[in-house]
Amino acid sequence: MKLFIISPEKVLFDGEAESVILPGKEGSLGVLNHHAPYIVLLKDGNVEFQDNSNQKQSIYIKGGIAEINENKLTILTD
Amino acid sequence: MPSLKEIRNRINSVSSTMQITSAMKMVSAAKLRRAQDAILQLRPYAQKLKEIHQNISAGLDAYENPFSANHSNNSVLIIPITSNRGLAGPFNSNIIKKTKAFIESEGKGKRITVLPIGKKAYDYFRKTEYIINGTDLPSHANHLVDKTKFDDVAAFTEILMNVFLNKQFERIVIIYNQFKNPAVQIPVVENFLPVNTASDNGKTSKTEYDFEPQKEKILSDLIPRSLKTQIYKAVLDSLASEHGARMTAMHKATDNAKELQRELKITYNKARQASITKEILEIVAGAEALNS
Repeated sequence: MKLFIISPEKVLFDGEAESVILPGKEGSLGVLNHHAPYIVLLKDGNVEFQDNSNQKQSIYIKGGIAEINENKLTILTD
Repeated sequence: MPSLKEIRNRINSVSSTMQITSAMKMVSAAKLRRAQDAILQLRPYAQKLKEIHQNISAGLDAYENPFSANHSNNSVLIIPITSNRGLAGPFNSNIIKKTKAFIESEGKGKRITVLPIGKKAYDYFRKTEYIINGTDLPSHANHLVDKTKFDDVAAFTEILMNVFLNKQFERIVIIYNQFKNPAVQIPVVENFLPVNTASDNGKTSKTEYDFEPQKEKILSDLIPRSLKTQIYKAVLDSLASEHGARMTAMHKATDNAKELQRELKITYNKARQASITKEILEIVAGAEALNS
């Protein structure tokens, strides 16, 4: 799926990702390809995912909101 | 006619002024590019935030939230955004004019408070009754202009949201220069708080979303987020406008200096020629006198 992590100042990540683990406000959750449309609040924590070269990546975010739609995961964070 | 030396001095001073203005123009052009970049970076974030907001509020009819409450206590807070530095053409005076016009037209019978962002507005309103003195609000937020960081803007916005939630003000507006292009800035008055919930009903998305937690809880996180983005965008717009305005002003100043320099050079050459002619006449007259 496509993963975007955007802050008001810059785009933190823009690319393909395999399985993404989000720090949800009510517990972390994993997102796989073709997830159902979903909007979820995030707390401070790491977004963990595998990029298209199967490398594990982890990006720290300070809270935010994530939207999943049409195999696209967009994370808005400060 | 002024003496040759006087004209030469004037030419020198005009050309050194011209050097300064054209250097300032270059600096502004570089800063303008950076400010425009920042606006471009913000765009995807702001766009997505608006989309999510619409998706959530589409399903909810008239939701209650503390940010759209009507306090009706006749207190209005105005936030004019100017620059910390001058020499930017009509950039700052437009905002001050707009603010004064707003106070006159909408401030009848209301208690007006002004919280300026930027030294120019602060210097102007410091002498008026509207400035803040010793409450929980700062009297200015000039630090936001020079190195604009989202975190600082967010902290400032938190203060604004708190005084609104404490019912100190019934309305908060921001007045800033909207950036159209480097030569055109439009001073606008924008409502900040209370949040208008009635609008966004035009578009309903086709996608059915699941929400975690409930929509109301997401909204109460989303609204502060979009308020911060609104202020951040206004500051960035004002910053880009400032550099655009300064660039235009300095361009004009350079052109004027060039014209002035050209005229002075003509006067200088005329004076020089006159003095040479005079000298030759004197020599010829002297020689004539010896010959006869």
